[in-house]
Amino acid sequence: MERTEALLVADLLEGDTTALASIVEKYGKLAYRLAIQITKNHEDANDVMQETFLKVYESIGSFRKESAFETWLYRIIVNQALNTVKRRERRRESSFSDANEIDLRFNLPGSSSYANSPHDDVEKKELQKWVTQAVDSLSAKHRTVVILHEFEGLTHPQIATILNCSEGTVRSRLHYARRKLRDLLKPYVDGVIRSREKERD
Amino acid sequence: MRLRCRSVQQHLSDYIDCGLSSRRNAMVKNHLRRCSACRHEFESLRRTTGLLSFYVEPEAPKGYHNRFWRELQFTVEQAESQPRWWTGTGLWRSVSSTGQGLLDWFAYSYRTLIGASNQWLLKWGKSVPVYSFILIGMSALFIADRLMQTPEESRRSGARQLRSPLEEDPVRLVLTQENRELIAKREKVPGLPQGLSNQERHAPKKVNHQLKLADVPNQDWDSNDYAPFEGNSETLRAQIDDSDVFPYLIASAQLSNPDSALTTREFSGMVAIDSPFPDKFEREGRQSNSSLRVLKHVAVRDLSLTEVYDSVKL
Repeated sequence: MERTEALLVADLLEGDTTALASIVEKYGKLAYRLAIQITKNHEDANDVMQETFLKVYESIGSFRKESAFETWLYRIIVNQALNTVKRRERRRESSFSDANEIDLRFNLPGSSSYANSPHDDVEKKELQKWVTQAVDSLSAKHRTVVILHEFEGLTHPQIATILNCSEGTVRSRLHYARRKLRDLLKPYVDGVIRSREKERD
Repeated sequence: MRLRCRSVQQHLSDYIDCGLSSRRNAMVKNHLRRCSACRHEFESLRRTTGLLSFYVEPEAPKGYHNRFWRELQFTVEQAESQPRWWTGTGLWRSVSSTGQGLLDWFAYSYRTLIGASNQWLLKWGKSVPVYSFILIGMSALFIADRLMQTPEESRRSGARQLRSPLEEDPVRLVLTQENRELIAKREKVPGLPQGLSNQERHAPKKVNHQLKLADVPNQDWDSNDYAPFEGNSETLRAQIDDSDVFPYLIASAQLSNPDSALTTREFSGMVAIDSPFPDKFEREGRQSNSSLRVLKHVAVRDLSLTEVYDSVKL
């Protein structure tokens, strides 16, 4: 029987490890996804996971029920991940980590909705590679905003709460990131626009 | 670029997200109709946003989440097993807060002392033994306090106690109405004995059935590691494994020959249970859609298979 979020929090406050297990079960994939998208390598993502759920366990008492548990969790994950990136940059290991970054994604089979023929499939994989690399090449703070807004579907106020900054900052980072991505994906963006204009003509 | 264009272009990202006020939204919309440069800018940003659907989300390595939980659980248990000496009974807490005040006073006096004349130094220096007595007294009180603690207080003075899934007695759980209802559903699980009466279910010392791994569908198992339960008479001993995220069952089959008490053998095997997370079960990195779990061989409690099954919290 699945426990409600409020019940999980209450049980966790009592030190019930099964509640922690349920939280890990429920949010583990989300946490890993966010962590690896921000940190860009598995080892750091694993550290972020450990730190995040330990913090959840130890600091559940400080969770104020004014915000949703998920928002609180997002905040912890994002902060831990950004701190990890900062630490890594400080250690100047980024060049080493970059070499280890996960490019295995491109070996994964894609969804069949786009690929109609082998040629389309190759093109799609190429596009996936470009887009993924473009997003990964953004700075951590811009990438985080893009991930939270475009992939996690969070609103500007929610992101502002998670990042502890103003909504204006979120908007400005998002705008900057989109322009940067537009520049990085220029051949694709221009190609699509030109073909659209041709169709219109 | 005209000022108007610059202002519009600054709002294009919000325009894409429908995050502008209706007035500003109408203003941008009108401008885009007239200005081809801004329209091109808008189109390119919108296309860029659309292209993000091709972003490939990284996936965790196979079996990662199960491994992660074990690591986390170990870390939590390690942390929880460390006693926190600084907490204690009410007596110690009140004494320690008083002591804290005295130490603050001492620190303040010391700062005054540093800036004071030699005469002051001498005067205050005489009272140093007083502080020593205070510290010795506090230490003695702390030790006495620890000695006076009851085991319960001592337990509570540590960190939050973990409540293990095993704390609830499986046998007691069997008796709940909820579990009785679950017994009825159990028949759907392959590999379990069919058509047993309630009495037999709760005390079957001899169950005539064969539970063969080969009969269980969709299970990727290794016959070298997990021998099937076979025999005409068997008693299953099992416990719930609290060392994992899921309520694993650990069971062994003891086959006893009624003709000879000496031919008792133990097998490790598997018990069919409904998984709380049937579609997410992973075993050693291999995904399985089966709702069955492969179990390890550790037998602790004397429970029948039925009792074990019934005691699992679904």
